[in-house]
Amino acid sequence: MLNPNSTTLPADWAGAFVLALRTRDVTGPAIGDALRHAESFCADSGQSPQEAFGDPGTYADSLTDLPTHPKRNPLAQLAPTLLGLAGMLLFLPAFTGARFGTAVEVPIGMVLVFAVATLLAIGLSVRPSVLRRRWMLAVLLTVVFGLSMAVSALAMTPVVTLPAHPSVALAAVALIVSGIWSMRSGPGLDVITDPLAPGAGTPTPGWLRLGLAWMMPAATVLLTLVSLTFPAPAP
Amino acid sequence: MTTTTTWPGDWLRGVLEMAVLRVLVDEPQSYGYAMSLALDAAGLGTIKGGTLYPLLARLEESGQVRSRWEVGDGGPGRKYYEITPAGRAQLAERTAAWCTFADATASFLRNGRTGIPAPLTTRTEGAPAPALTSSDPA
Repeated sequence: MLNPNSTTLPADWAGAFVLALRTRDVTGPAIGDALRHAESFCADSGQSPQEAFGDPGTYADSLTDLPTHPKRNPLAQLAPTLLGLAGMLLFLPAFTGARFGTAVEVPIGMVLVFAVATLLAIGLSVRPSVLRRRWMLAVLLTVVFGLSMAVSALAMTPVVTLPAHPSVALAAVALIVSGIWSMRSGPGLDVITDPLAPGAGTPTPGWLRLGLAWMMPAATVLLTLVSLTFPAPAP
Repeated sequence: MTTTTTWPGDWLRGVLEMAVLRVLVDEPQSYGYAMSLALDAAGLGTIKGGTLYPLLARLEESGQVRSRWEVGDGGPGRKYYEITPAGRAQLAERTAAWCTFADATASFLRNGRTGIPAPLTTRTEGAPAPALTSSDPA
């Protein structure tokens, strides 16, 4: 794996270049190759990357012949993750409800947070170029999550009340399906490989792919274990 | 010899691919900056890395060149390029076409449609004709 900061290129130029290629869906090995090439040319010529290659975003856009990932439906791409998120959001209150014999009240705030997260994820996958302007992304995330947290904290009105045990089962199924779906459909983490390192261009290792696919179910199990330490709510 | 000439980008776009392939015929194993120097020495002007690498990526994608990385000795590695038989064939074909085109264009620009040399500059009575027309048949 090649870390852009480990090259001799200035970190801000290399970072912006990698980000611009990522938003164009260029493959990891091709990004590593382009990065090393820029480094090599600058070392030989004594020029800065800005002098030799110009603006990193414009230069990245000129590399139209680099291999890219095939276009996929953004909703289909995000579906396993969103299913896992929904399973996680439901499992924790459902498990607590089952433990203490209470029904699961899904507050409107939680539904809104899920809706906002879904819209944001779809929006970013359709228009990944937003990621190139860090300030815009920072403002967007701050506003969206600030509003979401405020809404989730204030809007506690239950939008639906569900029986606890079936909800636990439903959430568990959603988590398991999301894990299996991610394993089968996800291309894995497309790491930037170093063309100078042995084994360059190898696909994502199995353990990493497994970890990414089952990250949300694992996080849910962990949070559930933590929740076991909480005392029963006052009657 | 290096030049400081800057040719119009439109002109370079038409010929740079061939020129890079030609460099690789003369230097069978070459890398980005060395190619840039060779092109400069050939009179094409300074070719920036940002122009050269997209072109090399295109040539590699179309199978006209192949490349391999070599770890640098105390510095960053280098990507060495080599022309393929397909690249040689493409170069020969396009060079022939380009020379025909360049000759026709040069002849037209010098002599115009009628073949009669046009006065390129204002000259006084008895002064020699412009150098551009000197090799044309009478």
